[in-house]
Amino acid sequence: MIIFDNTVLSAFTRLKLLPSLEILLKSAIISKEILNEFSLQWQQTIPNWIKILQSDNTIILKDIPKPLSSADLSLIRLALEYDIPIASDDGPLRTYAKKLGISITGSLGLLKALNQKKIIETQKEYIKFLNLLQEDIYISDELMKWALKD
Amino acid sequence: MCNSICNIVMLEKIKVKLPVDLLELTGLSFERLEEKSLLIWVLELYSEGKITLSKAANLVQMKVDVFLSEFRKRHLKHMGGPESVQEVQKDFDTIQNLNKD
Repeated sequence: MIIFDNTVLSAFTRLKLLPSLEILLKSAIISKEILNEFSLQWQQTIPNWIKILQSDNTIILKDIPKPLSSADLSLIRLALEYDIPIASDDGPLRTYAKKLGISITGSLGLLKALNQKKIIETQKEYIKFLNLLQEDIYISDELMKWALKD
Repeated sequence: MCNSICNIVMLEKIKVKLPVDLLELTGLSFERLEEKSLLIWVLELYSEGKITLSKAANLVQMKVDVFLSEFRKRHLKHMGGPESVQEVQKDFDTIQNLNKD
């Protein structure tokens, strides 16, 4: 089980790779607050294997960084409550989560895992998805080399 | 820009001065120019990885998918994921550990 933030959720929706993520992860969570930040039309595209949960607002968080929203904090609370990682490409969210001892992953790591498990079947397809991901997210040459390494 | 489902966030505001010529050059009303200036600033902050996507959309009172389409329209790139091979390898290991459970 893993928690998606809106960067990873929208990236894999755009890449049309949510069905592949289901094979890899089996199930995932987003918070109600994150869902509400998307338009109604977009909300309807969320598949059933992604559960929508209300975070526990009684969990007190300290030293909350200004670059985070209340929806970001709902993901932090879910991660603490269920002791599961967050998938995010947002630097401030990743940094704060790590500070609280929450495991983190991101789109590039997920994409490589899909390739390694042969859920993305061919290298050609994998490179196509890497290029598509790179349209939104800055991926340095060093990270691209890592992504392409077996 | 925001329907009733948006969270109501009371934000403190500051005034920023812009050349009056911008009204004529852009053909925008004062309100639209104000909105667009804010959007440009927030897009830059998000692009540089200084704020999260959610925070960015909140600041301009847009839905996240609408904000992202503004972001993509300008061919901007977002900095914010792992910065080093060590960090991305850790990201990858997190997924491997999930699949072991």
